[in-house]
Amino acid sequence: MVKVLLFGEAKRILGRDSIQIEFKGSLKALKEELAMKYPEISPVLNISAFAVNKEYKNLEYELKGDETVAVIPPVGGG
Amino acid sequence: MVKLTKEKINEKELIENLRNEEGGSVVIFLGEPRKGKDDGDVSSIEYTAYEEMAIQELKKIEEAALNKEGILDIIIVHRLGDIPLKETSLFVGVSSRHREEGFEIAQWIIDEVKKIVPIWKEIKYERNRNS
Repeated sequence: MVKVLLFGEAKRILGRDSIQIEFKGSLKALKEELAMKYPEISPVLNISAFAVNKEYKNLEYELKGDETVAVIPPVGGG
Repeated sequence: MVKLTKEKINEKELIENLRNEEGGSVVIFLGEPRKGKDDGDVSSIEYTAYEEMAIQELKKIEEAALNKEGILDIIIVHRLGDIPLKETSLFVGVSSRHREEGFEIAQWIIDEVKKIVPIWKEIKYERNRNS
């Protein structure tokens, strides 16, 4: 299972901080699958970065199926 | 040293920790929650983080900064939770041999923190009105 962590707007919209999903494939495909299953967070997904096991990865990154993926909306620390 | 904390930041203590016998400069930046002119009755700003990753990213920034010529010590502390206006949300301190590299690296650290560290803020309004 891939564990998807949600923060900021995505967390607020869905009212939960994570999603468990059976998935294998690229981050890009995961993003598309999430957008299909949860269309209400699609706009957030489109402006978010993604981290796999706490490291930023680009959308071509291939998931094996047991990772923790974080959806990272535009950050605003400081 | 890098840290995330829910406590009020003790700036004086951090500054003392940055003093170094080989250093000729300590550059300090204090970030504070900001109220925009159209924001209305802002009471505080709430900062949240993906804490494990944020610490990891802060450590990478610290390591890269410490590798620069003339940099002796770095402290980056980000406060999380509800932060009232006029209190410190981000402390960046750079101890260096000379002021030039101190200012340059402090600016670089602040830019990196704002760009890549997974921390978010939400404006809290008085009378429980949320944005």
